[in-house]
Amino acid sequence: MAATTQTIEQVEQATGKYKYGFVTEIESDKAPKGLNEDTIRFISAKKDEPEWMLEWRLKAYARWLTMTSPDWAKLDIPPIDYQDSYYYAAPKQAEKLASLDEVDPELLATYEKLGIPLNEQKRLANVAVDAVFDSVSVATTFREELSKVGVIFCPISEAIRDYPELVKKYMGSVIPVGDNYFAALNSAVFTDGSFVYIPKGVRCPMELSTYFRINEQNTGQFERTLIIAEDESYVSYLEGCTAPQRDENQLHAAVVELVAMQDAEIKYSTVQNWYPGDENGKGGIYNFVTKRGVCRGARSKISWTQVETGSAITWKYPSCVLQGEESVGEFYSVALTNNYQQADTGTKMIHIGAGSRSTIISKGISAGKSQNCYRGLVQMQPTAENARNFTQCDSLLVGDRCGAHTVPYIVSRNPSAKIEHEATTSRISEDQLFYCLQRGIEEEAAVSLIVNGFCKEVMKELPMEFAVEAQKLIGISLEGSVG
Amino acid sequence: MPALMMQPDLSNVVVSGPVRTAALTAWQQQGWPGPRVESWRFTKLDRLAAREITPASSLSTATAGDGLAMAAGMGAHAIQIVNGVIDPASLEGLPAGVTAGNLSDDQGAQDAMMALAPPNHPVSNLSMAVMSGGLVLDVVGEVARPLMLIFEGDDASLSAHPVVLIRLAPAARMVMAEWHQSAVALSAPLIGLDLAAKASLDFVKIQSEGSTTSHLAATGVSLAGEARLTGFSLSVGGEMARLETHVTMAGEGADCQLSAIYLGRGRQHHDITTVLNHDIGHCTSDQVIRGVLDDRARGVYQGKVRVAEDAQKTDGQQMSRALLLSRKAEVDAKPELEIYADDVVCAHGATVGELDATQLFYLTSRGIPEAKARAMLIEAFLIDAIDSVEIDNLAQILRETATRWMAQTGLTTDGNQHG
Amino acid sequence: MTALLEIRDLHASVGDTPILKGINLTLNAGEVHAIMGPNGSGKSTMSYVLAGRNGYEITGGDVLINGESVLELSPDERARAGMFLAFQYPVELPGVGGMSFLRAAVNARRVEAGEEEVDQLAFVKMVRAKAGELDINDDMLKRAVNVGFSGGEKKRYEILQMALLEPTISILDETDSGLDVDALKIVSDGVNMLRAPERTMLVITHYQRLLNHIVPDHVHILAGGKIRKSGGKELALQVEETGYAGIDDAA
Repeated sequence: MAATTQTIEQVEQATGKYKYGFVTEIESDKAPKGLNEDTIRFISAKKDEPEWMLEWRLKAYARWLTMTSPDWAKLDIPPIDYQDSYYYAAPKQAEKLASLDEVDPELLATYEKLGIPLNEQKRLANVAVDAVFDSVSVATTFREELSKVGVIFCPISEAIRDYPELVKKYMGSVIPVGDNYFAALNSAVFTDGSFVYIPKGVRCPMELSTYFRINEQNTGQFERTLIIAEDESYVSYLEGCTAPQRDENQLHAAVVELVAMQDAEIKYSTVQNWYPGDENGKGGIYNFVTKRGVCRGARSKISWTQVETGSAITWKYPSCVLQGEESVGEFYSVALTNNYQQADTGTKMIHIGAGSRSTIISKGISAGKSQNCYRGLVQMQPTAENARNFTQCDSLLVGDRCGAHTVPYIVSRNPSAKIEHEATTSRISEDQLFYCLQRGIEEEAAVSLIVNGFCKEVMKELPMEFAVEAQKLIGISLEGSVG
Repeated sequence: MPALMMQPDLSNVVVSGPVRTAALTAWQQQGWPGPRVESWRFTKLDRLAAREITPASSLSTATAGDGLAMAAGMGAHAIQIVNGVIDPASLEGLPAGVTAGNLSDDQGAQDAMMALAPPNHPVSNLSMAVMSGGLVLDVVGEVARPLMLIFEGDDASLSAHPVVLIRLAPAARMVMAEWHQSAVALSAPLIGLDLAAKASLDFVKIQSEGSTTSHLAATGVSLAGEARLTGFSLSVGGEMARLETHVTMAGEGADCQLSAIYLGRGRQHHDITTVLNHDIGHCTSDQVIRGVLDDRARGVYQGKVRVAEDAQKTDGQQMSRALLLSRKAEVDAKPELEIYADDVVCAHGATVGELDATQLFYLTSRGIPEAKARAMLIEAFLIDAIDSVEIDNLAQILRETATRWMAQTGLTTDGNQHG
Repeated sequence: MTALLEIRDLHASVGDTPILKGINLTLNAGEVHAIMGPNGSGKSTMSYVLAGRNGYEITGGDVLINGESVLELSPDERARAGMFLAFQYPVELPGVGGMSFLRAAVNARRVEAGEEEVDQLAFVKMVRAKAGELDINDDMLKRAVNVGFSGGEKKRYEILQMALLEPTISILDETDSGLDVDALKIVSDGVNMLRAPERTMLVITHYQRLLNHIVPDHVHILAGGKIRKSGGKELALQVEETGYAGIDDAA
């Protein structure tokens, strides 16, 4: 648990500013600025990709050129100049690493500072980490231990070379290249990300984790993650992310695809703490992410848990396609916005299989001058006999200059399916606040306590390693919102 | 606008005055909503747009329907609007406290109407521009006798565009109903309800149009301080119907109860769309929506509660429940909260599903045949909502219409025979 | 000797309505004072005003802890200065774990006093010891603050907090309301254990029966926003017999 403690300490020492805003001074290998077919060829060549991958990318790029940026979200997105960004940036280092000892000490130090030590002695107990720095994976821990049980956990760029059949079969099968504008963009220019394969009947012996870090200026991060859980397997996967504090906005457009076969379970947890911009709304990451899992087999289960506190703008709807009979989809979300942050986030639960079930618990907290919107779709297809959904969306307002919005879409095409949706919006109760104050707890701490209580149902779904950090994050992210 | 969509033939329509001219321009620019317009995502106008229609311009004879009988039954004065044209004879002998005026030559009233009307709405623009009939009703004091507006029409090649503005003076009180029973291609009433301080209006709308009629209604409401509107819509008729109501809370202490029931069968499409704008604090709104859908019918409820900055102490509630009786039916709901003030109590709930299995079992365990038990539960589901209507006359016409629909749909609670 | 709590000619309003119309009270170390009064006399307002709750306007007078005015202090500052309010209606905090809440409160006070924060293990021991005396079981401690507690459990939980926080000034607002005889005994025993020469208590109650268990040194009758009469514990018995009606005229 060394890392957990370390992270808490860091956070506790914090003074109220974004803790991960430092920049690592490291030499970087970049693609020329701008987006065109040559950029894509450059990325593909850098990754030593087979021809089919390059073709896939180019097709996606052609598709993207015909598409327009989605405008239906309750977001005010300034125009993005896609030519004014780098699509590939990699820290310069030896081509192949025999062991972690060869990783640039600057990088090791960076991850250590972020609370994710990669070196042999200090590694997270029982958590295997894939560390992605700008466009490349710089280290993946515990790979040998995992391979003993047949689990593949590696950078996706490696998987493309080493497991082409798996990648060909599944990449784009859940989120087709033309699914949406940002997914198409990602399909064209994705640089790295994690690949996970859990063979039949294997319960992954440890938590798998990817830690994403944007370091370079003017660089977009386009990671792509693919997780395949074969019959009767189980994996819990965690994702964390941070970026330096910069005045300009940076784009992060990731794609995450999950495939759960019969009786398999994937638990995917995210603590999203990209740089949110400053208190005047300057800078911050645009987090436009497409995440979707398909429960392909009977009784399979996909559970999304997210704690979203970072990013200037979040556009994100981790979804489940519940194909298998009696398959289960879950979405637990805390989205906290402060200052000028904007978030439009939620989920889609598409029920196809008979007896499929889904649960949505969403807790939105708006503070400062931020706008926070839950948007979710629950759809019962004609085949979803006796399917069930329960949705609870609660919004909390901290201050009177922010907005909290709830936009559920409910579509039912099967009379035996049952949907229940409840939503409430309110502010922190005066009674609760006074009660805490009267016990001697300061106002900011009291607000943090109450807000964490409000989020409890979601927080308890997080793996231990992340729960404590997430709790602290809530408090820190609310700083300056009271008084 | 999409090229495939037919537009009403406006070649013979004379549009006069700045308000109507502006509305015509807006209509010509926007037309019917395209496929990507978010507020029309669940309701497409393809069937309507495929028909050739011409706006009505002259009064025709009244058609058969229950409107007059219903008006007589509740002792109401009936104003008849045929093919969208106001029958001047029916404006004789209005209840004391109600005065009628002509909207088509009243620029001020037209301005007021557009301020109330749902913004950027095809019906707001088209019906204001065409205005096959225009009526202003000014109401003062407590009106003893209810008023019923009967919208009828017989020509399936016509579209009807009546525009009615009803203004309640401070502390005025009235009970009124809208009854729609026309057989035109498109019935597109634009209605404005402007309630001054402490005014009170009990309002029921029955949409019982003919089976090939598209009913697209736009209603705009403004409530001044402590004004009260209790509205209840029942949508059963038509091929396709959208009842869109926009309410603005313009004064503290205003209260708006807006309920609706939609009942669909065959290939009917019912859409209930509401927007509650809490522009000012200390107001309450409450919406109860119930739907029952059989065959291949589709029901839509979109309800938005918007609380403006500083509209503190707002209480906004929405509850929608829908029952699907058939495997081919579909229900879509989008209850929406958009909130910019913090000291509010806002909530919505939505459920979709079948009848409660436990309740059904309870009834059948008492020896009641299943078909009848189902009918009883559906009736209870509807009557429960109608029971909130305090004015007996209004509750009565709602109940009668709902019961008739059930009988027509084969849901009978009378005998013990399978329905 | 400086009084622990001194209330000087305190006037307070809610909106435009004056509720407290000149309260004078001095609570010295070691003393237990009872405030009795009919409904609407301003008892609960007084406890909120003393604790510094928003929504009450102080229109005159002063409140002093150890001789220093606390009117400018926020509720948490007053709490850390040693004031504790046992609520008539303890507030539920959904999702907020009891242990972390109690520890946050205790540590806030320790930090203020320049002491070390108490670590989790030591704290659990400390709470268990005190909880046992108040018949509070582990299950209650594990739940969210006051959520799912019965009326009696909530009151016992208030006293547990008081025992942990060791306030110098305790204000008990209708602590007997909603308690049956057994619960009343447990709560009173808990309170009595906290009586000490360096502390003072203000027991606000409608009924005399609580004062059989927590025997006060002084009794004051509050009516119409003013102290109408003060005396010893026998005054409470007098109220029991004659009601408040007779007392009111005595002012």
